[in-house]
Amino acid sequence: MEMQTEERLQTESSLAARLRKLHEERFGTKLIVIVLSVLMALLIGAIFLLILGVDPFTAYFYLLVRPFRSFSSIGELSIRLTPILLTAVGVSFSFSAKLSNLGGEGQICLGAIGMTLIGTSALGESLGVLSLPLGMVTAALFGALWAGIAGFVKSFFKASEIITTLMLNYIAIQLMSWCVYYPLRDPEGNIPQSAKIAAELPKLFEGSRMNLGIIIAIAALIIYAVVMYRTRFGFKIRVLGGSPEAARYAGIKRTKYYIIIMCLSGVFTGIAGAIEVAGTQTRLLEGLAGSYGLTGVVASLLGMLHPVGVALSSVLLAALESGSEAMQVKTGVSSLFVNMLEALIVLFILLGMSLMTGPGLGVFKRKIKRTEVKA
Amino acid sequence: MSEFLTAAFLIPLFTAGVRMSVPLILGSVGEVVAEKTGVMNIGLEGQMLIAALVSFIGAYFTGSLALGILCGGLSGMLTALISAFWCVSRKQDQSVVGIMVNLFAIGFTNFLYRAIFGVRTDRAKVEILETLRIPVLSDIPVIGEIFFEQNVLVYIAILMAVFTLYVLKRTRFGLQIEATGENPKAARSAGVRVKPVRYFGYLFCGFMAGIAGAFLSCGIVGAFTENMSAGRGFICLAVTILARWNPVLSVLAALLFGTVQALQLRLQAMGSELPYQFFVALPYIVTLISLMVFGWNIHAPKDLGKPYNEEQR
Amino acid sequence: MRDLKKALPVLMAASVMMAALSACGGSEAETEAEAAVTEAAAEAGEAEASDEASEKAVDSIAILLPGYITDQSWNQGAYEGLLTLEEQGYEIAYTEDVQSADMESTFRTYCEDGYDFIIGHGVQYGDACVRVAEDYPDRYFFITGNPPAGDEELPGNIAFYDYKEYEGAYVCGYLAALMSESGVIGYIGGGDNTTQCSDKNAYVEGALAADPDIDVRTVITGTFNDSSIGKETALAMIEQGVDVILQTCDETGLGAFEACNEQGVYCIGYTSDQASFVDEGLCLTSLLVSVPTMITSQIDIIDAGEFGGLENPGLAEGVIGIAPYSSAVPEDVIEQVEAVKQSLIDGSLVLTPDYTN
Repeated sequence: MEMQTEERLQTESSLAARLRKLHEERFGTKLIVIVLSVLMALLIGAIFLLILGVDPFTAYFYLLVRPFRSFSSIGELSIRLTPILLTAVGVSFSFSAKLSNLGGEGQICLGAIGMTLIGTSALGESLGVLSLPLGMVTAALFGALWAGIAGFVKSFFKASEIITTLMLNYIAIQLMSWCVYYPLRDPEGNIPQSAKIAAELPKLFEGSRMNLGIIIAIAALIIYAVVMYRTRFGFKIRVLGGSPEAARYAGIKRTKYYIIIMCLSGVFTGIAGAIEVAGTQTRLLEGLAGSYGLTGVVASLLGMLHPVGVALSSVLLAALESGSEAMQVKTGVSSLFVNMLEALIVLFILLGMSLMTGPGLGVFKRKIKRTEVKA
Repeated sequence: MSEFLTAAFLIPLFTAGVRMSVPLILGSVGEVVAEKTGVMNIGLEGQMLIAALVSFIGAYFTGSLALGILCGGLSGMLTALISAFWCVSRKQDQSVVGIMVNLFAIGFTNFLYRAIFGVRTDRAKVEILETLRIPVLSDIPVIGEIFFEQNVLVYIAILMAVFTLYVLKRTRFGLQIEATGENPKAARSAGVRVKPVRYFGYLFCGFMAGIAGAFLSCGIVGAFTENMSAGRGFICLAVTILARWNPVLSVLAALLFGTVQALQLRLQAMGSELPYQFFVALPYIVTLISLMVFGWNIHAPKDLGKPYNEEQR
Repeated sequence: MRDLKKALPVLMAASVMMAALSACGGSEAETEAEAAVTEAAAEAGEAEASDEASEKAVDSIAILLPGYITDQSWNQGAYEGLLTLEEQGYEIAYTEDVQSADMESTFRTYCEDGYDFIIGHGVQYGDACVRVAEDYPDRYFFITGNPPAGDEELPGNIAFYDYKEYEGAYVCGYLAALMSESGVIGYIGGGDNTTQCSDKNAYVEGALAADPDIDVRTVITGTFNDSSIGKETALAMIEQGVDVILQTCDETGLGAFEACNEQGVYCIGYTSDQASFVDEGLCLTSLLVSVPTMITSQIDIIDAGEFGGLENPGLAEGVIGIAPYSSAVPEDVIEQVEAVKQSLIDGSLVLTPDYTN
């Protein structure tokens, strides 16, 4: 059912106009919702802190301000920001097409395995520094394949990518654990971890752990912005995300795009894993993916899938996670407290957005046409 | 090989398998009902974890396990109410809300446990559920030992699965549930009130997840430890698929996974070199294969995961 | 398509990053000011502490823990050690559940915060610690385990404490073998690392020394924090005829204790005297690891200016110990076990640790 090119272009541009309109129309309101949500979450968190007998102002100072204190603490922040931002960019591609990629953690693991395979091999040893780009490519490939499984199952078996990506996480974690216990284990070491990889990502400055990874992450964000807003491909992703029916009308083949988008998503999260190995840990070990997969999803949602938003929310979350250590040190509040804050922020934002659009509960009630671009 | 095929090995293996599958049965029966109404309760893990703690607190302070377990069920339900409000009333993405509930639960249980018990040298403990032998039935050789010398939650889990299947297949309410998940618009025009049914789906699942959590803290360990649900909620999601959205089949699928886990611990004690990682990943691998090779997703409710808009008829 | 051109060009993304970065730079001054205010209160307390301890090289101590301080074992032991030090006027801090992704940054956070003495509680922290210690030569670092493998030069400001926990495990194995009626005993470990593997192998060795026909079942569960797995592992062992179990796996081990209590099987505790967790008599003894002593002794060493390198204390130094035996252990068994313990202490029996899994 190939449409006439002209007709299709027309459809596309009218869709584009509507998408853009939606975007601009609510920018201010969205910002208010986000700020209010963060404040609400902090308020509830403050109540919990008071119950624990901790001064909320002190706790929040360590949580939110402390990570920016010095040059080297910003370096620490960047170490956390890199995987969060890369994962956020990766999953933003899929969320833009209404594909819930919750598999960041698994894809990070696979990327890390890919990097380690190259970095600890004889080939990597002989390549030296050149093993880094090769490792990155391998990691991207591994991540893409892993995410692609979910896209494939979605396209051909109509299985929810939500469940499959979650399951793939568990499989990947065990796969990585197996790798460090058996095939990739450092023969000289006595704890389960791989040997050191051939080369490390260069540090950017003296006196800080900030490394080349952060540049790669920023580049990824720029790529995301360009692809989403400047290319035909990005446009199709957004149409898919707007309404599958409109996508069908515009002649976008869903099965193909689901797989491609998931793979693309996996490329970035895979690279996040590679940087964790090459920039931070210098080897593969269990628990390396941390909670970055999930935090990346939170960052992507918090940033409303918008490049600027994703950047800002990634910085916020990296600060929270990095500040949570200082908070625990100084106030004795467990760093798990941050999980609660993150969850509350996202829940409140979702609530706020739902009150803004559609039939609201009260003051936000507005008679706007449905968000979705209906065919 | 012969040492595996003795009654002395197999009977305790299956008994342990049954015990380890109980949280999976309870959780997945709840999930089947939720998904049949068209909502995906990803927050199951979080509900289980919160309930594990709340039921422990209940049992610890009232001194009654029954009250504790009830508290667990209710707290699971209350947690599910968050998902229900956000996803059914406010039509938000079910996966995102579920993930947030799980994230919240990890932080919240850590907070609540410390707030109540602090850091103490004597461990807060409760007596665990006693084994309840069912007269007559427990005298059946083999089967009796495996199934009828367990604690009361084991029986409740299996009875709930059968009862749920009956309700789904044989009652008017079951039809309404099915209709809501398959085609909410048609259900609405047939007079089914979609939103309340979906609320029920969430709350029932939350309650079952809560009992599952209570089983962990009050039924097996007698204490609460950090993050003690340890991914069992996600296995429940896998079990639901593998059971093709049938509560009785989910008992079988859960038993399979529980027994594999029990087998793994025994093999390791016997000096097997098989990597334990394989066994931990097995439920997910099996489920993925069931999706990819057998295409079992055709059994999924058609409207699963999609928010329902009343005015969009 | 054209319409989108105006939308959000690349510039925007770049500018945000710039903004974010400059915000970081800009806020530094403000932050400093705020920090001064907020920390004033905290520092008032710190100042008192440092007055008292001003002659000492160390007045603030921090520890990285692999688990939670409520585990009644390895982590709680360290926490209690820290509390003793707090009473002596040191400023203390701890971080729980530090996993690989966060190890290095946690070390660095403490260094940044000016802690003088930073402890990684477990052999797994060695690698990250070495990297950090190079950058902070004026701080003291301490790993409660042996140094990371490899022939690299280790910085002089790290001390490793490869305590001979396996000596205790050997004694426990000896006791378990003597107490077993079925001839089958068990060991449940938490993770595949040097400490755990050498415990496991020494336990087997000790048991075989007492009874060459003993059958030892060993399981490494792979987790220190899942008590229900610990319980099921112990139950599986008990089914296989095991009637004495040593666990060295923190919260997982507490589950194993629960199983032993339920089945009336003897068990041996870990780190602290865990006899009170089970019915009277069931807990034969506990493999004591004096975590507080480990930490406090290091402080004396720092004060004496002899810090660094690797130490190998064991039963003889009192870092490893055997808790009082339960009423279930007969006098003659106690005598035999004490004799073995004595021979390890006086050096007439020397064990070679076996780190293989």
